[in-house]
Amino acid sequence: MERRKSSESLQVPNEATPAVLVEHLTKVFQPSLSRQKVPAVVDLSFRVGQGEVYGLIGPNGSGKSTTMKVILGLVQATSGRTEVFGIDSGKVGSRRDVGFLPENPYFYKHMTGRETLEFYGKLCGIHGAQLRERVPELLALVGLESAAGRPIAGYSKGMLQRIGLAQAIVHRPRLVVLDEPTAGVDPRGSRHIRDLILQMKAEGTSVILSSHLLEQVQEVCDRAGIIYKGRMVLEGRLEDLTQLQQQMEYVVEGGPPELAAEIQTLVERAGAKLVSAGHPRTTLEKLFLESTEDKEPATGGTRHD
Amino acid sequence: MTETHANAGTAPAHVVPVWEVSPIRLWVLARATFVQLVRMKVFYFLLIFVALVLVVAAAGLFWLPTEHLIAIKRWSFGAMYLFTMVYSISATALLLPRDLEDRTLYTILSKPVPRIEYLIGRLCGVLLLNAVALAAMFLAMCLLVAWKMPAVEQQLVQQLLHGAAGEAVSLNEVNQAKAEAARYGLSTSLLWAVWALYLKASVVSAVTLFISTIASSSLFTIVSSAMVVFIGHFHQLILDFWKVNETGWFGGLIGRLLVIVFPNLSLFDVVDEVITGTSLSFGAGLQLTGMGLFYVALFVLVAQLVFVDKEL
Repeated sequence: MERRKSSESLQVPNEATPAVLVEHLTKVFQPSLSRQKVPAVVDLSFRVGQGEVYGLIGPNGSGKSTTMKVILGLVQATSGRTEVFGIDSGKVGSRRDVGFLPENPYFYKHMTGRETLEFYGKLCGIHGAQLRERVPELLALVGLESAAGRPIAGYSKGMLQRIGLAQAIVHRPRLVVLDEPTAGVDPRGSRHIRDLILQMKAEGTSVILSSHLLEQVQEVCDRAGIIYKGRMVLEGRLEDLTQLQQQMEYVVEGGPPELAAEIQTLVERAGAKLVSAGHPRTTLEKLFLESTEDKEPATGGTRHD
Repeated sequence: MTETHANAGTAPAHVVPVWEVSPIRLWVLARATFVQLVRMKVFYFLLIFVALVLVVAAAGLFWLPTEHLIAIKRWSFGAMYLFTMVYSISATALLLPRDLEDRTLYTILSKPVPRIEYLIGRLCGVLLLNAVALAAMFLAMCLLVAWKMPAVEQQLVQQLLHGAAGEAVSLNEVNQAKAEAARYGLSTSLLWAVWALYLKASVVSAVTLFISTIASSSLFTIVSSAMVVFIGHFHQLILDFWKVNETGWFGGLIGRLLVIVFPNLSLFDVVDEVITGTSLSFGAGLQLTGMGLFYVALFVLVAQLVFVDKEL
């Protein structure tokens, strides 16, 4: 035990040490009373750099949550290697710098929001004045100051997600693992959570994000990996993955109608094909947020934009 | 593909040495468990307890003076036993399965909390609840006995005078009557009796905790723990039956297994002797404490062995 402890202390993370390293990870489950083995993750490899936001996407049952659980030491790998800041993820020490928000989190219903953050803060070794300062700061960050004294049992799903996110970052971890952080949350709450992830990214925190909302992944992640049936099928930088190499897009503003005809002629003359032309569209999310935004009482007429 | 196991050749990664267990985190977990159980309004049963002992105290007319004191203590200890057993099993059985079902366990164990700390912390919360509940009930019983004591003494003296039929009664005889009353009143042995009850409840909690690490539901845990408590009370009976009746190798094997696997809870049954005035020596009390601690440590250790590699 002592040997392991000293080896942990020798592994001083530096800039080159990835926040998460997963190498040839395989996890096979064997349900009790069954001989059939169920492979959840097969030969999975990826790394998350320090300060990077990494999206882990894939259909239900593809192995995303299992991978996260292995990274957090909640499940043991059948084979392969997983490290968090250079420490074997199975060791308790690897979790000192990690925050986790599970999918659909539940907390002790008898506790209030404030007590919940205090509880998790104390488990992370934060006490006294430091904790008294941190808890209100987090409550303000996730917009739950007014609900801080209410028991968790009365929280909505969105509030649970936000208090969950707050407990995940209570000890200012350098890595945050988020499993479907916006599941069941309305667009406004979802936007809030997205902004918090962007804030963490700006502060240099590494984030692993698993989400079905691909648009959100695209917005916040630097890199992403697509898992299908336990295997990594595609991985890379978001801008590289989403770029259609064979097509070009031009957005023109204020051009006369004749310009469109001229462009089409030029394209045909070059032997290319005009795939689409029209007005660019906004997103439904933007429309929703603009329509439901609290506006100051209008003084000089009504806005309809 | 790398074929080596992530932790191949080393101890299970979740295992931490005992000296690395944080007392502060243990207290945080124990306190949270205690508050959780208190907010489930478990202390309402204290009202039932008080009502019960008051009824017994009021029914003094049906007993002889010393029997009345015994009855108060017997009913009080009976109620204490019932409540501590019910709460030791049901409260402990709720903890782990519910945390797993609600995924609260994920958020706790994804912090730097070793699994052994989680187990001991949760168990300590239940033990704290038992300690507070037993202390409150014991105090209520002592107050009642102390309140009844002068009346019992007076009754004994009156009986003495009545028996003397007008003849003089010496001071020595009066003192003897009072001493007789005191023997059935409050004594340090009562403390040992309540301590033995607490130890028994602690052992039952530890057993329940262990069962909850292998069980998939609270119901299974409760039923199995109740069975262990039942068998644990018949330890001596099993041994005697096995010795007296030549049950053959199979019967002998079953008997031995039962005796080894199930804790001997009858060891802690000292209440009957104590409430009838038999005093318990300090040595016997220490022996009980040792046995209780041994069983608790044993079942926590076994629970940890199961829980340390449990896939969550």
